[in-house]
Amino acid sequence: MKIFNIQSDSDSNWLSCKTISKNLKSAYELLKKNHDITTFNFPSQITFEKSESFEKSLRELAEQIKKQMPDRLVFIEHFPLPPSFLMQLKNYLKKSEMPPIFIHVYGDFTYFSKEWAKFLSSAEDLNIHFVVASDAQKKLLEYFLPANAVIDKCHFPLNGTDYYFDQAIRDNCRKKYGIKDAEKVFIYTGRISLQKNVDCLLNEFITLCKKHPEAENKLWIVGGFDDSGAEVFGVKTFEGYLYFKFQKILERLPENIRSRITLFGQQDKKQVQELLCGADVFCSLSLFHDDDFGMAPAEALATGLPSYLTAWGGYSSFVSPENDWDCTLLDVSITHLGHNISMKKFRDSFTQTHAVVNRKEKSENFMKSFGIQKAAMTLDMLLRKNSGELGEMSLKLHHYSNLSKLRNQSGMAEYFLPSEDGFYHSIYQNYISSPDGSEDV
Amino acid sequence: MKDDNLYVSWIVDGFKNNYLSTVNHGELTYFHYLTPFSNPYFGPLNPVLLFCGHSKTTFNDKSHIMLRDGLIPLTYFFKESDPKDFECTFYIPAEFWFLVPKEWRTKVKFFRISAKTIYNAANLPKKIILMGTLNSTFADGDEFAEDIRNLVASLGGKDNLKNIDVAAYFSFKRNDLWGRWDDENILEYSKVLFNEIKMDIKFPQLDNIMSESGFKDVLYHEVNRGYFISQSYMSQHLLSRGAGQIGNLEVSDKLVAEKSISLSLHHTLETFTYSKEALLGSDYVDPFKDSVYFSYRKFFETVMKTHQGNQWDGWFSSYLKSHYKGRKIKSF
Repeated sequence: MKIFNIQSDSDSNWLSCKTISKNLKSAYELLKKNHDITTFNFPSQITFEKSESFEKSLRELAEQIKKQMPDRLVFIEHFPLPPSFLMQLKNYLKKSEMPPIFIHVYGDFTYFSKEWAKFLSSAEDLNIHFVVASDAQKKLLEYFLPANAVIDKCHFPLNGTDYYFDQAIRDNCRKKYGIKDAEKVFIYTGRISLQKNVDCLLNEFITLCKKHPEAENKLWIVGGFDDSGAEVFGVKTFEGYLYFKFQKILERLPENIRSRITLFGQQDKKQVQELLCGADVFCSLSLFHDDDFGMAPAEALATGLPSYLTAWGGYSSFVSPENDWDCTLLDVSITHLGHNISMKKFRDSFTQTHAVVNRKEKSENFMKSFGIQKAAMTLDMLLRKNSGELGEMSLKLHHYSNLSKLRNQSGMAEYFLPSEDGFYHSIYQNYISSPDGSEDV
Repeated sequence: MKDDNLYVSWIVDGFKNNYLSTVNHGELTYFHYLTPFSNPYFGPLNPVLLFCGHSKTTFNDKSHIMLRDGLIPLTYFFKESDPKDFECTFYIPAEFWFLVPKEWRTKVKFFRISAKTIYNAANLPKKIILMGTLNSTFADGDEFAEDIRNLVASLGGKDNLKNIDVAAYFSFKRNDLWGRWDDENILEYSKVLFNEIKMDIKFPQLDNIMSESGFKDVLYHEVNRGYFISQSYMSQHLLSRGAGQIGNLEVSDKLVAEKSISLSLHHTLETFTYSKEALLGSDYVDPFKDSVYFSYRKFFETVMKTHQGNQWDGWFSSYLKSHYKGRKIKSF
């Protein structure tokens, strides 16, 4: 199969997307055994204003497409933004010259709803194959796209040489931070942003410490503060806010609890791997609206770490159907009071005795399902699948995009406020799964 | 715990940040002209910029307000406002301790931002990020050159910078808000950078700098004499993500340390009050009683009769700058 890959000429601004792009590219490298893959690099942009160099590169690509007639035009990364890019490319190719398009869709699909809505409304006769990273993202796209749309799942791959379990690393790490054998370390890694609810995790941990003073557990929070707020609800927070909020919580604590909590700040990959090996339980209460996958929980599971995750977005795809690794989902519901997370399983885990059981095996099992090799196999299969014409778009995506615009201009967010019904609910119920992750609510 | 449910609502967080969203549209030109340095940020002492539309009402909602402004807006503020109208305590940059008239002193305290990492010849960074404005709003040509030379000297000389990556971003917005200060210094600044540091300097887009997730081993240096903004958003952004400085501001002996507040894992805010002597002393030199000021003012009023447009800000800026020229405001 002849494949043309469209890639960005620079790294993504998002930390997780940097890793995803790199690992997806490695998966496509493996496909070179069976396919003829040519890569075209373009500027990592959202829109393409009149730029001579861009136009020139686009013309060259169109010429190559006409000459070589590739079987697939693949978009690996979220930038250059596929809808904006394809709108431009359509100017240089007749409908019959446009090859089938294969797009890896990221969590920013709703964020760029305006661009997607504009492009997809004029793409009904194009053959587009959407590839998403989780079941929840598939459901979300199914909600917005025409019934004919071909949407398949291929996880974002992890590199087994980056995240794995190593007993020696664990022992060194615990020694370095003075952790006794009997002590249980809860860990969160990733951005500390409002929608990730790390402050809720902190408060939860503190309450449990007060309730169970005998359990000498620790909490490690690893990641940089990010005050991007909750844009979907029109909630804006400013640089420095979350750190201040954390400080306020911490400064009121008695020393015997305060000393159990460590904020590590932003750490590099090697340090995160070390801390994940040294910890005992990973927890994320994230309700981030662009969590189509969840690289941080995936990295924790890749080190064999038992994990408690909200049944939200891509996290639900991490549950092991065969119990090959430990991933427990915490129920989520959308109510008129806000989002509701059922914490029972997490709270029960606080006083359970822990032991490092088969972490190496769990780590390896997880990587068999979420590694680069597995992604390459899935992609190989999906690339061979034919997609039909997209068909006519419903107005849902336009509606979402227009309401987002209205919210950004006027701060009006009532259409997006959580409730048991309404527009927000109809969209984001697709991000909620049942506790075992096997059957959607 | 009453039940096993955790209710998550972010609306309260939005409300707590609301005061920073209050922008007076009449003042937006100033804000945009100085962006990204003028971008708002959150802090324990409620940081604001006077010229970004924060009103008296907003101030009195809080028990304390931290004014991030520089020399010019602060001078205006103390002249134009009556301390009796305010119930809150104002924290102003410690380098401007001499700007406060006596009637204001019981309502004013001071702050200094200190980075935990200080770079010098014995502790060199891996990368230097230089920022400022391309016109003279933050520093004119002479001040720029002096500042860069000081930076190089602090790091032990030019030879020490050979293996350090250097990136520079200078905002290039043109505006005539401040009269003659719209001249661009691109050639003059470039010459200084290449001569004093090295030829191999990168000039990335602001977005590329902003999107870096951490600034460990990075020295942030803002070429900013503090005429308009003392505490910039970029400084907060980079220091809170691990960047260091060449030093922390030396505080006058007229001030007494009060407390230290953590602003991030990497930098702190220290507060100061006037010493008892300074509180009652007469260090304040009223710039409005200067004869030069009167001649400027008179000239301005004459010009205004025949001229269109308000260039008073520009005149006032130039006047204040020369008025305080001899005083080394920022010293590390």
